[in-house]
This record gives sequence, C-alpha cells and structure tokens, in this order.
Amino acid sequence: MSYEFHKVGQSTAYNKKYLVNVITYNFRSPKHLYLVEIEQYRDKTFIIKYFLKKHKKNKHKYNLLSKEFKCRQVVLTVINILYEVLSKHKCCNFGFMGANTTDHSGKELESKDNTKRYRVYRKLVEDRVGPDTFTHYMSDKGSYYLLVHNKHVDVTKVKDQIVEMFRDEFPQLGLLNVICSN
Amino acid sequence: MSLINKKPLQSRGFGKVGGTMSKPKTNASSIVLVRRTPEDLAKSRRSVYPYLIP
Repeated sequence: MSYEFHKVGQSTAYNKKYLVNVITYNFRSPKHLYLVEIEQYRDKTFIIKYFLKKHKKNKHKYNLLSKEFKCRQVVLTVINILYEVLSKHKCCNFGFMGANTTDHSGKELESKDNTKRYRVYRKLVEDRVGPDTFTHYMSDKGSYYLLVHNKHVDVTKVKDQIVEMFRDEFPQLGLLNVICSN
Repeated sequence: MSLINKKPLQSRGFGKVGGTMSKPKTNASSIVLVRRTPEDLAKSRRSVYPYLIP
C-alpha cells in the first residue's frame, strides 16, 4: 500500500525568521525516486513538500505530474512520514497545500483553487488522520490544509499564530487576507 | 517630441485610461480557513479501517 522510506538528511536554516530546519526523506516507487522535505517552522509547525528527485532543480517541481499513476501509494507514504515526525515531535502541527498542475514550461493547466492534488490529499488525510489528535482546517480557495494538535490549550489561537506566520513568510501565496472561521 | 511620448498612456504603464483600476486576479479576501468538525470528517470519510492517527 505504501513504500519504504528513509531519512536522508537534516539541515538547519540560518538567517530565516521562522524556518528552523528541513528534514529530508526519500522513498522509491517502481519508476521514480521521490524526495520529501519536511520544513520545520517556529512553534513545531511542519510543512510537507514532496517531488521527484529528477525534478529537484526544476522551479515547477511541485506542479509537475509523474504520470506513474501511483498517487495513493505515494501520498500514503508521505502520511506515514508525517506519522514518524509526529512520534518524534510531540504536539506538533502540520500543513500542506495542493499545488496546481503545470507543464514543464510553467503553463498552468488548472487554477490554484481546489486543485486535484488538494482533493486527493484531503481525502487521504480524512481517511488516515482522525479528529482526536488534530483539529482539521481547510480552504478550498487556495487549496490549503492545516492540522493543529489538540494538545494545545487554545487550538484556535495556535491556528491564528500559524496563519499569521505564513502570512508574513509567504506573502506571495495570497494568504494576506485569510479570514479564519472559528 | 520623442516617439515614446506619443504612445497612449496605457502602453506607458499608466493602467487603463478613463476606467477603473484593474482588480487582483485572486480575491484573497474570500479565502476562508474552515474548521472541520468531527461530524464533518466522519461524514466525508470513506475508509472503514481505523485511523493511523486517531
């Protein structure tokens, strides 16, 4: 159902306001080698990113399709990595976004809202991650998903802090005016 | 007078002349991060197997 994965590196981020370090894992599917980068931000917030190793230097690496049709296995492997990170860092939060698909030249093949990646990730997170450990937040607009650990005293406050942090760190993502319900 | 000054204002980066300012492509203010209740999650969940993370 999922692939065996390995931790291959960890690098500390210097001169970054919020980014603490980047943990790298890899795993192999029948056709490709994948890299998974777990970016650790302030307040134990982890952002999960993955791409094909051969696309590492491509600026559209998150937007390209592998055309291997092993999406479920790949995403379940990434969720297993999330589980390993959670077992090492108690009380941490996770976030991801579903990038829109482009071709190699960067031409957008779908909009950034409710992308097909986001729909697949959301479904698999629903299947694998329950409501007892994390509070789930999502936005179809922009294709964002956030898991805030329920051990925080004030989950809503933590969520607001995370949004504030990413609003500051990534103004280009359009998070400038995110309205949070609850 | 140089040729460049004869170009319409719009082509010299002054935006649409006589019209309203162009709006941003994404209406970012409409992005809403929605909290999902356990009931919502249970309703949309398809798997019958236990959660990996409860």
